[in-house]
Amino acid sequence: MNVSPDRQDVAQTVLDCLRNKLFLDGVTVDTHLIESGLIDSVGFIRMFVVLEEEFGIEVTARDLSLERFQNVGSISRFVIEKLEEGGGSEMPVDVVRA
Amino acid sequence: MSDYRITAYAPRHRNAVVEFQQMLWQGGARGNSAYFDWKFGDNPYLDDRYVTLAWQGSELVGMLGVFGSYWEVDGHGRVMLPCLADTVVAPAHRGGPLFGRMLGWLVDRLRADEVPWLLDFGDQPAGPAMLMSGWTAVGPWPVASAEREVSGREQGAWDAQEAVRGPRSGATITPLANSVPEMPAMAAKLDTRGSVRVVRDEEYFRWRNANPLARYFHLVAESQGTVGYLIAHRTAVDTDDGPTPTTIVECEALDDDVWRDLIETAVATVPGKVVTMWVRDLAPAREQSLGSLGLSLTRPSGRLSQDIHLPKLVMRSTGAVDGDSAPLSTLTSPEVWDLRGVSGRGWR
Repeated sequence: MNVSPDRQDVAQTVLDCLRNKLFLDGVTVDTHLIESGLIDSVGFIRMFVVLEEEFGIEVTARDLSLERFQNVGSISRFVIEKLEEGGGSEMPVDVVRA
Repeated sequence: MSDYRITAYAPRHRNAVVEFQQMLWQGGARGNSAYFDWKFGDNPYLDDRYVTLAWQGSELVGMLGVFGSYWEVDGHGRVMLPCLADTVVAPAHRGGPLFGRMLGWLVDRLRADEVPWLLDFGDQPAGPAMLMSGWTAVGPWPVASAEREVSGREQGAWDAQEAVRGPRSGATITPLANSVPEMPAMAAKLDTRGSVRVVRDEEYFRWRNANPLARYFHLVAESQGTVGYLIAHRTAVDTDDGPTPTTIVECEALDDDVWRDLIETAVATVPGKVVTMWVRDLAPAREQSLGSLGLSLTRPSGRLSQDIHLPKLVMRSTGAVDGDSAPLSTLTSPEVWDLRGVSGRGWR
């Protein structure tokens, strides 16, 4: 049985991470993380660590682009790509749909 | 957020910079002032013209240091390439766009002056964000390190220690307080592995060794003449048993046995709990012997979050040159670099 991550669940989990683990107050699904000034260079590293822990993926230098990490939607698409290409070791049950 | 004012450094800013950089340099007013002079005044390759400051009102809230590095580039002779360093953003202004704003302002100035590249030997968290902003990375590369027991007391004068005989080479290995002309002479004779390598001449050795916030430990190996040397660096604002590592910034020898004897002697005698060195440009035989010399290797994992503290060179074209035929267009290729004699810490 194939399982694929649900886009909305992933987006909600990413949003929760930004709010509750990175403490980005006021962030919404539409917030541009860089232009808003909410996240800086150190914040990106923290975000990568949180995404790796939360979704079991690995973020590498080849993944880096401003477009990928500009808002919740783009980050979610990146996470889903990673999960679908097998980057996730154990997909948390709350971000997959059978 | 939009009321930052970005300026070039001017002498009237000196006291503000010296006070502001206490966060990073930690040398006190006198030490920080001397360090500024050394890095941006006495640097043989570039003055303080690109040191960039950010202000909010009259308060200094950010700084990018830019100092000169000097390279031999096949086909181009000797070329000055500016290096980013000493980046500080005041705590209340972190988590925002200030670093990017300063950098953009600096790159605009470099481009206007037709300076083609800006380098940064980064082992800091800013790396990924810089890569996302158009910087290119060479590396990260492995490091070797050794943890030792420390005596808990300050070592005496380095050059007061007795010379030892290298167990493999039989060479006499002597601690020296300063570099000697034989060191750059030996570096100049080395076969290079890449077409871009740092200029290691007497002027470079003299300038580096004059860093007022660093201590340098030199070893010279002699056997009917100089057959090798090693230079290690430690910050002068930490104690011998403090947390900062001691870094072997370069080690050159005419043969592998001398090289191993020098490394082993350094690991046994330089101060500090941790001794570390870059592995990037070591010949395979030397890299393979690191374990037997008491050093363990840390290799890049490929994961940004894990590799963030490994050394790398990041660089950015300023746009002053463009196209494959432009001067220095190959710098983004990892294989062109021979980084022996360079270490990020060696310039701190």
